[in-house]
Amino acid sequence: MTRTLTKLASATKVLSSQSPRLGPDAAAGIEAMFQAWRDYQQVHETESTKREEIRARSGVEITRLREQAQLIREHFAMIFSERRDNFDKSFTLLETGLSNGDDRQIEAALTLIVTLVKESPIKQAAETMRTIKERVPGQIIDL
Amino acid sequence: MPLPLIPIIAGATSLIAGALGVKKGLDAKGLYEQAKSIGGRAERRHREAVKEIEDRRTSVYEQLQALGRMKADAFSNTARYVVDQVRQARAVATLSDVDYASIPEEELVVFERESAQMSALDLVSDAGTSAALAALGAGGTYAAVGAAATASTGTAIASLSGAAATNATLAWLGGGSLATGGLGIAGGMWVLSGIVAGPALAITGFSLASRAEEAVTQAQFFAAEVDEKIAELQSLHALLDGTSNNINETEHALESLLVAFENARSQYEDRHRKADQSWSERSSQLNENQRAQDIEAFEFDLQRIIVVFKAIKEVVQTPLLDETHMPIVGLRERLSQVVDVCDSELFSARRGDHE
Repeated sequence: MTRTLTKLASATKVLSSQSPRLGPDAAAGIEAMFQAWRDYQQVHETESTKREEIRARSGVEITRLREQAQLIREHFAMIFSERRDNFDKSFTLLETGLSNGDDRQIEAALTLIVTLVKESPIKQAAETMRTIKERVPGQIIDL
Repeated sequence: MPLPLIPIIAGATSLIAGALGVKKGLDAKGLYEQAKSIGGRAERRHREAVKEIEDRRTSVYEQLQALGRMKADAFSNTARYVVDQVRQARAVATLSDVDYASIPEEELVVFERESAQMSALDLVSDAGTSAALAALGAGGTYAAVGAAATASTGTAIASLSGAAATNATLAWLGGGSLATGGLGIAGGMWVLSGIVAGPALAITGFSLASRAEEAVTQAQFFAAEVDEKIAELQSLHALLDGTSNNINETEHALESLLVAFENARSQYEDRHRKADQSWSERSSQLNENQRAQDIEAFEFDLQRIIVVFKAIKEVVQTPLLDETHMPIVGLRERLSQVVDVCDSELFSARRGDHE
């Protein structure tokens, strides 16, 4: 492309040298075309750079968002696993208490169940998300 | 004779420029198609992602509604039973002086009212530049020829006027008149059209290609925004999955408490049945102390029912998602924001494509 346009520019010069009176206008036309090509080259480079930047920035942002989502999932997996164990223990305690007629066991089991239900894992996750969003680079978040 | 070569060179130059213009025009078309394709794919991804999150949200919403119904039923049934039994027991206790005051009457009235309200419970709230430049190329060449060349008739073109001047100019551009072995006026027209079209095509092509490059960038920016919004939705998916798990475990907890309630209720009713039978068989032999012991045993059983009922009440009245920290409320807003941003970006990208 560059070679072709350089040849066109040379042809203009030849035209100008062969016929000095022809020169300025014809050369202006070709020069305008040459300028359009230069402008296009600049736009091409600028836009290519912009696209690279968009790709890079978006890639970083998407990775961050995916990691954030993954962190929430892992956080939930951990919380719900712990809660499942505690629920199972309290249900077992409740059954045992009821079959033995042990009111202390029953009350302990019920207190644990109600406490677990009242501890919202969603609220915990929302707080975790907020902590993650406000996290500064290098900061270690204790979950 | 260098001059006759000039039209050939000018024509060839125009042809090359024209070819370049056509090529850049085709490149631009390709880039516009690429931009359109990027935008279209992003739009599809966005649509699918929004549908997916909406479907998930709907499914979690239905789960919440089911939990709400379960909570309402659980509370209504257990509260009604507890109120009835406490009142009956209190009537019996009055006779025997045994105190059944673990639930005062005021609290029973509250239970009754809450039980009635529970059925209504709702737990989930939701190309001028290129034309100008081309004109400069064509007009400029035409005027230059007129000024520089000599007509094939030997008369300086500049000294001719009107149609003769035009014809002489065109003939010169064609390599001279047909009489002198050139292409004549027809050839000149052909070359001139090339000179007009060549640079114009080239400049238009470059201009189109520049705009197309910008359109590709704009489309890529839009696609990146969409992909970021989709990635952002992953956290909301995780929150919805978490909410779903929370609903399931609350249901499980409530089911277990209801089983415990039924268990305590059967024990209490069995004791009642046995006592009723025993009292009718041994009524004459029972003294007040024995009756009081039996009633005390009822009280313990009823107390157990009340304790389980109070746990059920706590679970029923604990909001799964409260308004202050409820991600699902924010989710609805955030989703509509995501849709708004994507739609406005899409509109801009489309407008860019059309311009």
